[in-house]
Order: sequence, then C-alpha cells, then structure tokens
Amino acid sequence: MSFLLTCPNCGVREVADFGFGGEVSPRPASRPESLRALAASAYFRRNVAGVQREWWVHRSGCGQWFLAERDTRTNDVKWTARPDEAPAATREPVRA
Amino acid sequence: MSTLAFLRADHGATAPLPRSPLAAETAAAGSSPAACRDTVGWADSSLLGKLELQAPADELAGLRAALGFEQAAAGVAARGDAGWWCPLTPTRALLLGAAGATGALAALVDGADGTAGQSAARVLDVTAQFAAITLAGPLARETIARFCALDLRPAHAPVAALRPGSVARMPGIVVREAEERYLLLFGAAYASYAWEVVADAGARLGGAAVSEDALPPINAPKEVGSHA
Amino acid sequence: MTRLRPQPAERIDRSKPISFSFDGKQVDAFEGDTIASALLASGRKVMARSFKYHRPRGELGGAAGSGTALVQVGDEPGVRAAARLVVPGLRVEHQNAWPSLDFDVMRATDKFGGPFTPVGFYYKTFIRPRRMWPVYERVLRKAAGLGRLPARQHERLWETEYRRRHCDVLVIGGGLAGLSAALRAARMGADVVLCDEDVEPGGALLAEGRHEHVRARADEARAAGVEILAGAPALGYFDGLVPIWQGDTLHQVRARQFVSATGALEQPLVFLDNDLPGIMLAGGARRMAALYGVAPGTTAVVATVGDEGLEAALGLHAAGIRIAAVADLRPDAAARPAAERLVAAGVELLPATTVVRARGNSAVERVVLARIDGAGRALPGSARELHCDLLAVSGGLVPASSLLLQAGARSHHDAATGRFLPGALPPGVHAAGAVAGHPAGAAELAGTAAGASAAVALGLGGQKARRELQEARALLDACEPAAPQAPVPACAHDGRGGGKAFVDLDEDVTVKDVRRAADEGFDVIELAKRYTTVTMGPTQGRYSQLPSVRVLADHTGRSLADVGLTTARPPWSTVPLGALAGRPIEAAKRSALHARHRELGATVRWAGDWRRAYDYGDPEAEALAVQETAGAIDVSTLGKLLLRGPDAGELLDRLYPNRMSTLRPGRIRYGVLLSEMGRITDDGTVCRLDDETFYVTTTSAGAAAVERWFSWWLTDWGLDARLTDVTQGTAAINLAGPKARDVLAAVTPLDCSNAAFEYLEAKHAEVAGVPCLLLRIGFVGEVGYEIHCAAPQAQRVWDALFEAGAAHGLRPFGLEPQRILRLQKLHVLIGQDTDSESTPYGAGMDWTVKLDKPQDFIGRWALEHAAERDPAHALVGFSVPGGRIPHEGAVVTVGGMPAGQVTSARRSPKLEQTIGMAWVPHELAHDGARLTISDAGTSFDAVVTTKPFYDPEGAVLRS
Repeated sequence: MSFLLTCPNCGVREVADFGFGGEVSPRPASRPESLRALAASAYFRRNVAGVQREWWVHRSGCGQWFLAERDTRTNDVKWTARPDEAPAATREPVRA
Repeated sequence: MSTLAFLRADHGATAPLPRSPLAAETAAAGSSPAACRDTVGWADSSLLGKLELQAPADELAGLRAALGFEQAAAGVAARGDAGWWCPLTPTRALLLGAAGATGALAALVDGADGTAGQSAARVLDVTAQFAAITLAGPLARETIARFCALDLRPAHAPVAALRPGSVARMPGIVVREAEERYLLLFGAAYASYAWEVVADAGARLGGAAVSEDALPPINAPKEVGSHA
Repeated sequence: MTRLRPQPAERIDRSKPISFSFDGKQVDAFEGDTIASALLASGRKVMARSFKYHRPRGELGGAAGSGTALVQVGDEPGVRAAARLVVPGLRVEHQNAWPSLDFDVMRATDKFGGPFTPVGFYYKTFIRPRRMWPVYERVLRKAAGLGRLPARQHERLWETEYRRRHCDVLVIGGGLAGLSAALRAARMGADVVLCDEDVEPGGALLAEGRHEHVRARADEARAAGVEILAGAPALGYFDGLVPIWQGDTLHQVRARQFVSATGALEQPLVFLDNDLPGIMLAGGARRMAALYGVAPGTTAVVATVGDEGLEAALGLHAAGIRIAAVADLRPDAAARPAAERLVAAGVELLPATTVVRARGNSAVERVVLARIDGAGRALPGSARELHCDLLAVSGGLVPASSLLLQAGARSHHDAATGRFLPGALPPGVHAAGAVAGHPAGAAELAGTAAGASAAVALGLGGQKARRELQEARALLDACEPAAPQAPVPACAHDGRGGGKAFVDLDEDVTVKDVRRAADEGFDVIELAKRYTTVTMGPTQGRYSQLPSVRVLADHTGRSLADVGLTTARPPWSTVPLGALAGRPIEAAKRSALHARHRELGATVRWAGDWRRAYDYGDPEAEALAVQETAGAIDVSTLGKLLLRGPDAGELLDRLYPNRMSTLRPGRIRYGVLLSEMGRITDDGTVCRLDDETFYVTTTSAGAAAVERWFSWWLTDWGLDARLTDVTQGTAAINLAGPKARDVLAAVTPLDCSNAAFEYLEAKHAEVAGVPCLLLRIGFVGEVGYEIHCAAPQAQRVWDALFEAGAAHGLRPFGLEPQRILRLQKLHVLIGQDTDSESTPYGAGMDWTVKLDKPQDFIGRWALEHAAERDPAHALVGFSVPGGRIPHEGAVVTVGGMPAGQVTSARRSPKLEQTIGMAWVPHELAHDGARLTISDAGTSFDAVVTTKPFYDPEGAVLRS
C-alpha cells in the first residue's frame, strides 16, 4: 500500500507519512442506554466497500488531524480537508 | 524564573552554553568548502534558534506581517531579516533564526505582538526540540533522495520550499534554503541516527561532513543548470 | 568454442577475452558475455539441476528474465546465468546437484521416484507425525537445493542503495515502443525515467536485425533527457510506486504517468521431455546468436505455432546455424511470408506439424516431429525423427502484462488475436507495443502515442501535440492486428510411455501434476497454482503461464478465456530479500545523556524506539543504592506535552477520569488515560505550571500515541488550547533515595526541605545554573525529584548531580533496577501489567477514577457500568515463599485450570524474596490468598498481597 494523500497543510505525501484514525464515527451525544449499545458505538464501524469519511493525521509532517473521503476499494482519495473546512457529510456517518 | 524557562536551550550569557545533540559527531568536521562545491557537505545546525508560534489564523498572519515577513503560501517559507518564517498550519508557524538568538527572537515577537503577556501563551522556544543538519552541494538533493521520499526536484521544490514530512523514517521538515542548500529538521533524540544516515548516504556520493561556516550562503543565487 | 562468425548486433568485445571459473574449471569468454552465453559458447549445455527431479537443465529463455539456469556466484545463490555479466575471475558454481552437475545422485527421484513424488506428495506424506517435521524439513531442504547462503549470516553485507526518484513519466520496458514513448514524452517537456531489465535498452529488435535503429532511438532518448536505467527490472506496481532493482541500487520511482511497454513473452511448447538442455525458446536462441555470437547448437530444429518461430529460424539461419527443419503447427504455414523466405533459403518447412518428443541423455540429440490429432497425440505414421542439438520452440505469446494488472487492469482473452490482453487501463497508466496487443510493426507508433498521451495528461504540449496524438491514435487503430494465434494442444505426445512433459520448468510441474490437481478438486487456476506451485517459481510464471492454462482448459473442457490467468502479484522479477531490507541503520532515539551512559558502562537496550540504559552492570546493587543512599536514572524518554490555553484544564478533565482543572499551580496529580470502553491506555503525571499551562508526562512508549490522542480530541472538540510535544527537547533525571535531598540541595539554591518542597509539588529552580522544573514524585518509592530541563543542558545537570553526589554514594541506575523498585511499591507499568482489557477497577486503581466529578470524560460511560459489579479479575501483588521467579506470562491456576497470569516478577534484593504482580480471579484478590503458579512445566505456590511490599502507607515517600 503506498498511495498518496494530500495533507491540507503540507501537500501530497505517501500514505506512510500518515496515521489512520478510522472512519468518522462521532461519539454519541449522551451515554448509550446499555453496555451493548456503548460497545457497539465504540467498536462497530460500517466498514463499507466504497467511499467513506475518515480521520487521518499527518504524523510525519505538521502533525494535524484532518478529514478525507476515500474509496476503500481503490484507495482513491476524493478529498482531504481540515475539519472546519470539510464538505458536509454526504451521508450520515454514524452507526449507533 | 518564567514557568517555561526550563524548556529553553539557551539562557543568555550567564547560563551555560547549550550542547548540540551532535556535539560528539561533529567534532571532526572539516571547514573546507570543497565538499559543498564538488559533491555534498553536511553540517550540524542543531542550535539554530527555533520558535513555535501558535495563534488563531488572523492573529498569526498579523504577527508575521509585523515581523516583516512576506505572506507565504502553504509549502513555502518566507525569508526575512529575522530568519525563516515557516507556516506549518494556518494557526502554527515555526520561526528559524540564528543560533542563540531565540531570546532576541522572542523579544521581537513580543514587540510585534503589541499585546504584552499574550505572547507567552503563543510563543514557545523549541530550539531544543529539533536537531538540524544542513546539506549543501551539487549532490545534496541526490543524497537526500537516498533516505527521503519528498519530491525535491527543482521545478517542484523551488528555493524557499518548505516540506514537512518523513525524513529517514522520522517526522521531519525540509527547507530548501538556496539552490543547493537544504535544511533538515527532526526530533532532537534522533540526532545521532540522522547524522549516521546522512553520513552513510553522503559518503557514498563522495561527500563529507563540514562545519557550518563552510556552507554556501542562504538563498545565494546560482547559475542555472547546475542541478545534479 | 562454438562461437559464430562476428554478428552485426553483438554485444561482446572479441578483442577483450576474459576468463572465469565454473565449478572450478576455467571458462573463456569475452567482455560483454553473460554467464549463460559464455557457458554455451564453451559447449556446456547443462547448467543446473531441476528443483524437484534433479533433471539436467540448460538455458531456456536466453533473456534476463529466464530462470532455468540458476547458478551460485560466490556467496550469492540463485543468480540468473543469462542476466549476470561475466567479469574476470568470477567464481561460478552449479546449484542443486551432488556430487557433481553431470552426475547427480538425486536424479533417482526422477528415474525411480516418479510414481512416489506426485503433486502434493510432500504435503501429504511428511505432515505426520508432526513432531518429525523438523527432521523431514532438513532432509527435504537439502534435496530441493536452492543454492547456498554463507554459513554465517551476519557476514552477508548488503550494500543496497535506496534512491527515491520522482518523475513525470516512468516507462517500463526499453524496446522500440518504450523508447518511442519515452522520447516523445521527454520532447514534450516531461521528466522521464525508462527502465529495462536487459543490460541495454532495445528489446527484442536488438536481435532481430534492427539493432541500429533501436540503439539510435536509445541515444536520442538519452539526448532528450530521459534517464535510462538498464539492467533494472521493475519489481511491481504499488499504488503508483514502482521499485526498480538495478544491481546494488533499489530505485523507488514515483511517477505521475506510467507507460508499460514490457512486450510479450514467448511461451514454450509442451511435449515429452521438453526440458532437455538444448531446447530453447526460439527468440532466446536467436538472441544468443545475434547478441553474443554464440551458436546454441550446430544443427537446429524449429517448432513453432506462429510467425515468431519462423522469424527466429530465419535469424538462426542467417547467423550460420544449420536448420534441419521447421515444424509449424499451422496447416497454412507455407503461405506466411516468413515461411516463403525460409523455403527460398532452402530450409525444409513442415506445416501442420509439431514436436511430440525430444530424446537425448543429458541434452537433446533427436526430436520426433509429427502431425497430431485434437488431443495432441501423433497421427499414426506421421512421426519422423530428426537429429539435432538445438530445438528452438515457439509456443505463442503472452503479453507481459503483470505490472498493468497490478495497477488495476484486468486481463481478458481476446478472441481476435487469441491472446490474453490487458483490458481498460486505470487513469495515468498507458500501454504500448506487444503488451497491449499492438502488432510488431506498430511498436514505434504505439509508443509515440502512449508517450504523447502521458505528456498531454500532464498538461504538456499544445494544440499541435494534441492533434498529432489524435492522428497517431487513428493510425494505430487502423493497423492490422497482431497475427492470430493458432490453437495449441495442451501437450503433444507420441502416445508411447516414458518421458515427462513439463508445464513449469522452474517448479518441475508436469502436465500430469496439473491434471491430477484438477481431478482432486483444484480445478480453478488459482487453486491449481497453489496446489502444484505452477507459475510460482523464480520466473513468476513467465514461461509457464500459458502452458498451465492450456492444460487446465483441456482437462476440464473449458476455454482459455474461462480458465483465465492467475493474479499477477509482485515481485514481477525476483529480488534478493537483502535488497528490500533497508540500510542497516535503525531509527533510534537517544537521550541527551546517552554518551554519559556509554561512559558509565551501561548495558544499552531497545525500549520502544529508544536506546536506553538497561543497567550499569549490577541491577540489584543499583536498586539497593537507591534505597540506601541515592540513585539517578535518566527518564528523558518519558513523553512530555505542554498544553497551553484557556481550555487546557477542560481538555484534561475530559480525557482523565480524575479532576485536573482543580489542580493548583505548582501541584502534580497522577492520572490514567482511558479508551471509550474504560480500558487503561496510558498513565502519567499532570503538573499545572500556571493558570493556563499544564505540563503532562506520559509513558515512554505511549508518548506519540498520547500526543495524537490529545490533538485528535482538541481538533474534534474545537477547544481553545495549544498542544506542543516537548518530549525530545526535554531531558529528565529522576534523583531518588534517602540522600537525594542532600544531593539536590548541594546543586540548587532551592529550599529542598520537606516543608518547603512537599510530595506532589513542582518547583522552578536552577540546578547547576540551569533552569529546571523539579517534580517531587516517587515512582521508585523513595524521596524523589524528577528534574526536567532543556536537553542541551542535561549533561551539565547530570554531571553536577554526580559531582555533588559522590560524597553521598549516588549511583546511576537503569531500567531494570527501576522495575525492581517499582514492583516493591506495586506501581503498575501500563502495557506490562495491563492489557487492552484492563480497567482501573480491575487494576486496583479505583482511586484514579472520580465518578462524582460533574464532567463527562472518555471512558466514563463504560466505568459507570463497570462500577456496578466487581471485576472478574484483579491485579494483585504476590510473593513466592520458595524464591522461584516465574516468567512473565506464567499461568495462575485454580483447581488445575488456567485462571490468570503473572505480569511481572523479580527478586527484590532489599526484601530478599521473589515478588511480582499477577491477574487473579476476584475471589483470590485478598491478602494472604494462596496462588498456584504454573510455569515451564512445574507448579509452585505464591501468596497474594494487595498492599505495596515496601512502605505501604507511603510514609517514606512523603518524608
């Protein structure tokens, strides 16, 4: 795996420059009712074969976290952006 | 004593002089400029003064302008009287000045800031955080290519290019200071390792360690067509 | 010597004779020869013994990618004889034969072992009994000789250079198509790299009479600025990164556009004993003659299924080799222009005929030609036996599309040309020439179009260039397609017994093996590949792909299209592991005090990514010194974060389960970090320096992860605080012991009395003139000061401490004595005593959790659930009355069943007993409970304690 990602601050770098934060899956706003629901929110992800919204961190460069949308089948990265500049989510990213 | 004084490498004339993390490695470096002219020379630049500035984007831009640096695009360092202004993110920049000059730099920032007391929360002396090696010479870029995947081809990284990224598997920052002069910044604990890597690659290309005064001047214009 | 008269295209310099040795005997050669060409020129046809049956093998492909003649060169095994240039004095030896290449006793596996060594034989036979496998393995490995590594591995010096090369266009393959692509792209302004596995670019045309043209093209490309890497096979395509191995350099090329011009691979024919030395690919034989002036034989028979073999026959004939006959499987072969030229030259052409068997002892001596039926069997009465010492075969072409397939193209069987061709190409990837199915005559045009496409995709070239590209594409589309390939039988044979028909010479896989695999259910090409190892040898299936597909299609009654090709995996060319392993310099972090530790004779070991002082020769004495006088340990490796801003306290409150925002400036609090599920991920101290500034320490191993954790939540929550990792710029020395206060007082103006500087207080003070932050904490259980200062000043502080400490018995201590000391205090080491299932409750650290604080924090929800019941397991201390020291990971048993495990154990020199920590069932987590520890086959008792072994109330610490 050696595809390229564009750090919003530093520019295009090899993927090995980055840390992967997993798919965007916001923390629930309040405590889930059951332990099972809590575990699901902590551990379960959609894991789509397709485009997903993800966290990445440029650990070898500026050290900043940013968002990306990537096709998990092809590693084609649609866009990367600082969280405050990211396009609105194209679909609800949370699976409770 | 200020609360963050313990982080500062250098405390002025009364305090002990800071010791470079490469002090042992560079003891034998020669000052002959031949390597920088013919192949590649590398020198320890670890004691270069470094300040980290963190502030909201508009305030940081104001600070930059007040310090006399031109606005620089992402990926470009601005050169001014105080040194290099390296924008890392919209809210974070690194100011690289002369060795031992962080006190003066900080005072400059204080003066430019105009909001005394605020600057302490924004400015941090990170001289000790980073070690640095400068490579210079016609084979400097080729030497760096032996341990670094950054694209430093002249057309893609003109003079003043700022490239934070992996250098020899360490988090690092590369600044192209002149046609054939590159500054490599990386974590201070990696200094010995980085020196070994640079020496290993550079020696194979016929280069040698040099002292800092053997380096060509920053931003020196050079005849076109000299790229290796 | 079997040199031909000088050939127009030859690479050898006949004015420079050199010699080398093969199996100790001198071989004469010329500069420019490869090992294979020189051996052939010396008359040696047998160059190796095969992998499994130890059959004699010679050079099959005559090209750099060929893998039948693998030899040992000095300490380097598996060298391709046709790729390695001869240098004077080269020491070459055979592999995989004993006692000699020409008489190999293991040949018995072939002569007599045939029925006993079917496919899967080793898997099925040697797996039982399991315990015998190591013995079998030793014997089998010796039998399957793979060359010889030096007995002492550390003497192997890999001097591989790594070179990153960014470019606009990478062209892989230096034939006419590739050179044309590179030239056009370069002329349009692109930065171009071209690589070719041969020692010079030029490709197939070098040996086909057009060497002057392609060599001129290569010169033009160089002049246009193309960087040409010769003798440099591309190893694979990794999401746009192409590693190219060139002798002692591994180029890692990252291009924006790729052109594959890798050509097509001529395939062998499958018939009985088709592996005899003296049987070569027609193109390979021609290369040997044209490029090295070597006659691979004096009398040749050529067997082909297409025009390539006819052309090769013409070439061999022109070079001066007698052609006894040319057998072409196509009934209409005589009508081909090349055939007409052969006939005109007096060569006998046999249409609708192929080779069904080769005969010979150690090399081909006779071949049987025949007409065959649909199943490949010789028609009665059609067989004819001819004498020859070279059989040149041409069994069709397979585009060398592996790199394109790795890039994401899919292969399909093209009905028009009868070839497997790459389909639609991903963006930024282009193909030109035979690999794309372009006819040979269109190579230049195809290359030019591909080069222009790549340049245009980069935004280079103006309107004119675009127009020219359109025109080139149109011309290319109008070209005659490559000549269709005739259907070829899976295996031609004479219907008699005896002989083996190989589909894969690398791996010694026969037609019978593939059929048997299909019969056993491995009838999908990918399964057959794994079961028989067909196409898995050193040539990566270069010369076995099509034969294996043909056999499987024939045997299962499917079409070639239905069977398909196996996945094309890297490496496309073999490469020594040493070339991939990296330069032998490890990315190590070292403290600013590292030189001092070395001077003090420290045992330096890896601790995470740091090189640390493990001890200074006597860990127990060092531990005792800390408890009796004073010790100093370098703890610069601790993660150190500076958090500044109005929301700094808020962030900490949300990340730690206790309250950090209530900390007063100058005070320190211990805290653990939790995952969302309440698991302990790290720990450390938080010190408030002023209202908006916190100094946070983390574990040494967790520093980077904690920094990312903090910055992630800062980003996500949008809090107003600035985080800076100051780990590497800050040194820290922990000074501890009954005399620590006296030592410190000697080097600082600070009042160090207990009243003035209490436990869990932080002070700013100069130590030896260096501004420091002093944290009064006590990981090792004695009065202790953690002295933090800028790394460039650390040596001065350290030296001053030891100068002042000499009178007090100050000793340096390492990581190991620190572990003994902290174990006496039952201080938990995160990651050592805890794992991804450990909560603060189980780990006995309930006191770090303040569920009564109002703020939500990461892990709170899970801990609220956890607080409702006792944890199933608890982390406790134990002592071993008998003094045995269990291994870390030893099992705690209850009623003979595993119920927990030991996480730490040491002998305490102070307490003179074995102490440790273990996870035990909750019901055993009380003082005095008896444990049974099962370790390395024996069991012994231990006694539980829940309180620290030393200073349980912390009176010493606070004194």
